[in-house]
Amino acid sequence: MAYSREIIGVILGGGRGTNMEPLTPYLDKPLIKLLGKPLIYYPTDNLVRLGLKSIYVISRNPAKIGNELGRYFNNISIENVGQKGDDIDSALRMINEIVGKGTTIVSFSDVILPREAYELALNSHVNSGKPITILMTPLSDLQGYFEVEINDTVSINKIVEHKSGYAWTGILITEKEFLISLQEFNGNINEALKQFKGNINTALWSGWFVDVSYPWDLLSAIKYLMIDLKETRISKDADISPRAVVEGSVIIDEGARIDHGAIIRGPAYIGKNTYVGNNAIIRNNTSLEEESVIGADAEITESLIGYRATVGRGSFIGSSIIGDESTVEPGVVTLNVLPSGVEVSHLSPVIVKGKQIAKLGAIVGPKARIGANTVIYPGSIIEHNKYVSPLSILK
Amino acid sequence: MCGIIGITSLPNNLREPIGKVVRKCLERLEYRGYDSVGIAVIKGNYIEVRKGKGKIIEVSTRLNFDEVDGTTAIGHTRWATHGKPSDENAHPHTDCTGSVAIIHNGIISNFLELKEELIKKGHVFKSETDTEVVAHLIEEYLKLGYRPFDAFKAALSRLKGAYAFVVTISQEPNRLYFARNTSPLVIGIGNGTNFVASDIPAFLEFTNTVIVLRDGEYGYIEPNKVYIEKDGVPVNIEERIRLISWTPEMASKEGYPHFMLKEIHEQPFAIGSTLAGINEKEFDNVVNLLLNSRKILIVGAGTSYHAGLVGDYLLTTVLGLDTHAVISSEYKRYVNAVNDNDTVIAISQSGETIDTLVAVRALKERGAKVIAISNVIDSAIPRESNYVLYTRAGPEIGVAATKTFTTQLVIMTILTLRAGIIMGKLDANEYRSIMDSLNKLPGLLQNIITRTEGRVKALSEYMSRRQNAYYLGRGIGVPLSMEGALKLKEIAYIHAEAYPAGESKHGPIALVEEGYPVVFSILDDDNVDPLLGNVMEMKARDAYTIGFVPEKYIGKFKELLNAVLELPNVDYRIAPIIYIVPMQLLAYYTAVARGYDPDKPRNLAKTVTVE
Repeated sequence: MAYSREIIGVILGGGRGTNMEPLTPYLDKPLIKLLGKPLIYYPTDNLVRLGLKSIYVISRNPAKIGNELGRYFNNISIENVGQKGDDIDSALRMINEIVGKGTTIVSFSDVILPREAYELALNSHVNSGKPITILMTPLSDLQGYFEVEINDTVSINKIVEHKSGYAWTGILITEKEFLISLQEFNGNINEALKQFKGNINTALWSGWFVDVSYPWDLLSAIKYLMIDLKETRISKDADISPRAVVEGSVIIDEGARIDHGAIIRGPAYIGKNTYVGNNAIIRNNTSLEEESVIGADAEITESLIGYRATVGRGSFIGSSIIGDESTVEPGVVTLNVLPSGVEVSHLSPVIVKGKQIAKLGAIVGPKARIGANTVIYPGSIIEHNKYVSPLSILK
Repeated sequence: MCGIIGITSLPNNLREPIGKVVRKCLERLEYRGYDSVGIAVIKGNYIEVRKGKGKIIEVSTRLNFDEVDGTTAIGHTRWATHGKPSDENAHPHTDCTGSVAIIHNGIISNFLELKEELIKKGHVFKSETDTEVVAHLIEEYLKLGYRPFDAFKAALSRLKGAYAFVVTISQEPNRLYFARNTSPLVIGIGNGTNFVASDIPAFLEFTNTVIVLRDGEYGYIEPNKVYIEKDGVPVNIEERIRLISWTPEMASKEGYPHFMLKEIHEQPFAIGSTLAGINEKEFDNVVNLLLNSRKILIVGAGTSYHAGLVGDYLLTTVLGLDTHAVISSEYKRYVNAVNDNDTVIAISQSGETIDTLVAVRALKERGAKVIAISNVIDSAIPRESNYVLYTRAGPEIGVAATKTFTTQLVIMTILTLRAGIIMGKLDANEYRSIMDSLNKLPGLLQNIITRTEGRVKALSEYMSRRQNAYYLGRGIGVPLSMEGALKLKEIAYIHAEAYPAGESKHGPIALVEEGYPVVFSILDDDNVDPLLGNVMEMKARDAYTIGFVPEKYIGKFKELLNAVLELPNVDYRIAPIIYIVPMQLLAYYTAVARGYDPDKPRNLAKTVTVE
């Protein structure tokens, strides 16, 4: 796809991300890494692949984010702008301040969608001839999302109660007239939408969609991003024992070392300069970030192991997140299914902090240390810098 | 729906004759309709029109579109909704002098009064269409001495309704006038050649620079110029130009990733159109015929057969008529049992399904009368039938039938109700209450889609990992289950089998093991308690039970179901029309989750024309 001019991208990355707090004491949410790349890389990459040449990123920490994005994109003008105010209204208000004319694609930094969703939205927008397009997706539980309500007019509401319907994917494509209206109403999107009654285009996305607002959403994001892995890619600078087994679609980055007898069962991502010890098993939907270390005989499944994190010998990490630079000592077990009586499935999931999830182990903040032979119950959160003494039982 | 295209070009700018370019563009618009086709080209001071009934490929070969030369041309592909497809009714339409030609998509609601007025002034009409009045109206203003653009604007100001037009006037051989109100219209800007069409894919092969027109805009294109106006004020063209490149196919889905999803979402509208388009007289004739028949056979194939089974259930159970639903290719079984006292209802979306056509011919030969239910006006089966009832679902592109099924059910239900009240099997109150629910169906269905789509999408993740499924129901829930299972089979490639729930323990249950998906259609009828037993049987074998349940029975079933889809309490006679929609969504989302393209299921074709 190539849209040669006039289409500008805006990525909103200025939310506080309060719900992610256990993982974000040292770095902002858009910089959390999945499959070796920061969260903000994914929406940016989608916009670049649509052919956009000019993208504005609104965030709380423009210098850091600019630095990080600069590593991945060349020949694209990426302007980093500091956000004034925390709420979505102030973010939307800023769009007009910084771009103000022509077609603009707005996207959230923490929503991960496949590229086809962006293509669908843009095609639908151009074809409709309407000044605004909202991309929405059906969800069984709208709690915590923005709901798109279509009656006589279209509105976008924050949903607190349990309800099924269509969630806003965060993608909005607007023409100048809508941006001006948004400015007039101080960023209040519903007031602006009211002015365009009957002239709003909605597109429906039926594929996958992840809004990363809670730590465990990162695990869903890994799962979906892995769908696109159709083949195994192993860096020539990786060192893999001839007696290790690599099956399914797996990416092994440069400098990774996979020791004798280890098993990598894809889809999985093995980051730069990581180490997987003897007879360790890395199962599906796992992402080992840069310089992480997995000890011998450990088993990791459906988990995110952060930058420079260590998982000790013989540990089991399932459906869990181990924060950057944390250490899990040998023999630690995370339980990822509620012990008894509670059925876990996609339709009757575990409810953690009022939010539904299918399966969940532990969320360990950065720079924490979990003592040897500790057992961690499902859904436990371990704060950053925390030291858990050996043989603990965390409920 | 119709597709329109207009092209104006500098001399020798196109590499091929303009007729061939128009034909190619029309082929891209074929999804918008395909029952008659026509083109018009300005030749010096007259306009040459070639048009006829049939598919683009047939008509363009017969009338040699590819050889037509010129610099300015218009083309049209029609999908008849009112006024049958015929050579006369095909577009373009011309005025009395043959110097104005017009193509149109939409409806002019005040055409009857305009037509009367113009006839009084001596205009002679050649077709039954609403479109032709516009040509005569422009002619009238030209006669008064208006310049062409002014005549066009004056004519526009008289029109009411939804429309997109393209008009050529022979005095200005390098100009095409256009106007948009509600119906879509797009301008394509090329190098020395400009286009105006219903949709971007039409001209995408030639240019990717477009302007999408908005409601109320009108103007003209010349080979090197585009002029647009709204309420007399010129529009800034530069600001509106967009450059695009995508596969032509994507554009026609109007914001849906697949045609199937678009068509599922279109069902409220399709049902509304079908209800609005009911021809009272034809229905009365059909009801009369049914009531005077010894036996009724309903023939159909695939989804149409399932619609036939629902019809069979209604006619037999509600009315007590001797009815049999027959798979088209198995009609021979009944040939000897049919005579001239019998009636055949033939159901076919396309009206061209060869198995059904063969059955119709054979049964007609035995003397049976034939009633066709079809979505394509004047197609083969309707032509060979004594009576025709049309569903007005619009063209269906997705191979898996969705909106044609629900509209076929609407027709069958109304037939049953009308026959019921004449026979005295339904009292006036019951009739009125069901008719009332039918009329509220479009709104209700919209609501159900919104409420269930997210839950169904979540459920599809489970289904997508399974190899088999059962669909169980009782009564009218049996054909409903068969259709639900067919959808899952044909697009998600999961082996799905429908059974009467009571029969499930006589064999099929042997296959059930832990996690085996069993989909129950629970309706608000007298089968609820036996079904409860069947759900328990499956639950006891650790099946993954999924229930489509009316609100009032949620409490009764909730504990036994792994997944509950709550539906409103509706009369069981119209429930299949509602219940099938989340089942279609389930098949769709399961196919998407498995990575298949639901629009192009392997080994299947939309219309099967071989026996």
